[in-house]
Amino acid sequence: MFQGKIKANFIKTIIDATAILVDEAKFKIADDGIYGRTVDPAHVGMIDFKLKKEAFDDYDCKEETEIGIDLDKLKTALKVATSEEMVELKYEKEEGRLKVSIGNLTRKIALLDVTEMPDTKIPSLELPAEIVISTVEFHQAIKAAESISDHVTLIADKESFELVAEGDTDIVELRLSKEQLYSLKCEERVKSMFPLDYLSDMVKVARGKSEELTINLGNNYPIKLSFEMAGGYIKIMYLLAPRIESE
Amino acid sequence: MNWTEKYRPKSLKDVIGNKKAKEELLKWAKEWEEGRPTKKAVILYGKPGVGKTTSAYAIANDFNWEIVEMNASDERNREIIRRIALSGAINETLTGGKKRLIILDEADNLYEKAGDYGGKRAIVETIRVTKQPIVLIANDYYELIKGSGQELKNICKAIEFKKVGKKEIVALLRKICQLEGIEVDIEVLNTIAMRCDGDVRSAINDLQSIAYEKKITRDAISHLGYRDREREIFIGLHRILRANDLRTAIREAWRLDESPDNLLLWIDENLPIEYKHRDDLARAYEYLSRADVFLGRVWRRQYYGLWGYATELMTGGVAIAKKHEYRGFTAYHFPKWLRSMARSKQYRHLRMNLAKKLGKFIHCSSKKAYELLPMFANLFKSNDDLAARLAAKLDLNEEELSLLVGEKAKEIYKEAQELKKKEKQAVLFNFK
Repeated sequence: MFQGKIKANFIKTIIDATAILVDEAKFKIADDGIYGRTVDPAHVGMIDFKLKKEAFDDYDCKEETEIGIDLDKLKTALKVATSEEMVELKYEKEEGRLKVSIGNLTRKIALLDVTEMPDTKIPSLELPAEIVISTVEFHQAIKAAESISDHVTLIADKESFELVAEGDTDIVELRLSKEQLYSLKCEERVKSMFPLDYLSDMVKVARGKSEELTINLGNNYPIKLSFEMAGGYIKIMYLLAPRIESE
Repeated sequence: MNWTEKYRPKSLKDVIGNKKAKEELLKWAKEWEEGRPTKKAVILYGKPGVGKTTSAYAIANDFNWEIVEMNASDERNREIIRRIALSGAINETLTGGKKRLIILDEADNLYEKAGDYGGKRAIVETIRVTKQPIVLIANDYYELIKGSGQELKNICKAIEFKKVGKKEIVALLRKICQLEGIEVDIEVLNTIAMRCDGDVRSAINDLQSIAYEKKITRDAISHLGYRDREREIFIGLHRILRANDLRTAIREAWRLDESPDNLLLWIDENLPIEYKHRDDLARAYEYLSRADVFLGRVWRRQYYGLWGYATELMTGGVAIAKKHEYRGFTAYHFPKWLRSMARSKQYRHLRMNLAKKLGKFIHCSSKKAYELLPMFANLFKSNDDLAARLAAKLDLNEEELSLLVGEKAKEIYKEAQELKKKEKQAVLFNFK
C-alpha cells in the first residue's frame, strides 16, 4: 500500500519527462520515494528519475512495489489539476488500480502488468566534461537548431562550450565562454553529435522547471542531462546516445 | 517454463539445422563487425519454427550486440517504424561503441493490420540510411518483396531457412529429455519429429505437452493431436479474459494467429466458464454480439477494415465488461460449433454439390435448388425408374444419390450407369 500528496506540477513533470520516451513505464514505489528508469523502444534515450518522499506531503509506503503505468492515461487524469493544486495518489495491491484524487474528484486508473516490463540498468559511462548551463539559453539554441537540421554537435574544451547545427544552407551556433556558464569542467576537447528530436524533447522538459541544466559530455559518446526540482527532492536524469557520424 | 524459451540456443553454433544459412548470416555479421557490409540488412525467410528468430538473437549474442526488436504485437505503421527502427538505425547505443541489431519480426505481415501502406516504405528508408545491422524476418519472402517492398530485393541479402532434418530434431529432443531427467521411448521422439515437419518449435512444444511425468511411453503419442495449436489459443484466451484493460486484451488478440471469426467462437464458448457473475456475463455478451455485427458487415461488404472493430470489441470490450476479478485455473473448451461444423463438413459439401447439379438442370441458383432438395428426395423415392433416369441425366454419383434415396442408392446408381451406357451407344449409333 502507498499513499501521498504532491503538487500537481511535480508529478506532471515526472510523467511528461517519461512520456517523451515511452507510452508505458514501470515505477518503483519504495519507502523513501518513487523511482523510475526507462529506455525508449529504440534504445537511444533513457530516463532515470528520483522522486524523494520529501517532495510529498504525508508520504506513506508500507511495502515496496512496482506499478505499471499507462502514461497517457495518467496524463489526462492530471490535466484537470492546476499546477499548484495538490494531488493525492493512493495505491492498494488488492485493488490493482491507482487512485488519483484532485480536490473531491477521484479517478481510479487501471495499472499494467509489470512482469513483462524489463529492468533497466544505467550503463557505466566515462564522461570527462561537465557543463552547467542556463536551461533557457540552451533551450533557445536547441530550438533554433531544430529549425534547420535534425542533429546537433556539442563541443566542449577548457575554455568554452559550443553548439553547432548545420542545415542544407544555414548554420546555427551558440558559443559560451567559461564565464558565461554556471560552471565548466573539461580537461581536453570533446565532441559528440546528437539527434535533435530526442534532445529537444528532453530540454523542453527541463525548461521552466529548473534554472540550471547539467550536461555531461564525451567524445562520440552518450550525453547525460540532469536537473533538479523541489529543492533537490526531485532529480531527473536523461541519457542520450549520439548520432553515428557519416563518413 | 516454456521449453522453447528455456532451451533457446544462445549462440549461433548451437542452433540446429540450416548450416548454409547460418554460415551466410555469420559472414554478414562479420562484415558488419569489420565495418563494411556489402548489404546492410538481411532477410531471413522460411517456415515457422525453423530457427529464424532464434538465429537472429543468437548472432546478436555472439557478437555482443544490443537488440532492438519490433514484433507483430507492436502496431507497426510508418510512424512507429520510423520512431523505433529508424532512430535505432542512425544512432549509437547508450552504452557507447556497441552495435545494435534491429530485428523486425514477421516483416511480411506488417501492413494489413492498420490498413497502412507506408510500413514497407519506412523499412526501405531505414535500411538505406542505417548505420546499424538490420534483420527482417518473414515466413513468405514473396509477400515481403511485393508492392512497395520490391526495393528490399536490392538492398537486402536474402537467406533462406529450410526445414530442419528429422535426425537433428530427434537428437535435440533427446538432449532436452536428458536435461529434464525424463525417460523416453525413442519411438515417441521419432513420431514427434516426423509430424512436426521440420518445425523445431512445435516439436519442442509437443514434447513438453506430453511430458508431465518423468517417463514418456508410446501411449503418449496419441495425446498429441492438435494440442499445440489449441494450447496457444488457451493461453491467449486466458490472457484476454483476465485482462484488466483494453489494450492488453487487444494486444493479446493480435498475438494470436486466429481469424476474428474463429476467435469470436472461442470467446463465445468459454465466456460462461470464465465469468461467473451474471451481470458481467450479460455485459460481455453485449460486446460480443456487437463484435458479431461487425463480422457480419465484413462479410456482406467484403470490407476487412472492419475486422479491427470486431476484434477490439470481442477482446477489449469483453475484458473490460467484467467488474469482478476471476482467479484460479479455468479449463477452456474447444468451440462446439466448430467441432460440429467440422464433423458435418463432408456432408454439407456433398449437399452443396448436389444442389449445384440440380440447379443447373432446373435453371435456378444452387441456393434455391438447395431449398428444393427435400422435394426432389421425395420424387426420387417415389419411383425408382424415374430416379435412375434423373440420376443419369444429372450425372449424380453414388454418395449424392444416397442423400436423396438413402439405402437404395447403390441399386439406382447401377441402373443409372446402365442407362448412361445405353445412351452413349445410341449416340454412336445415330452417327453411323
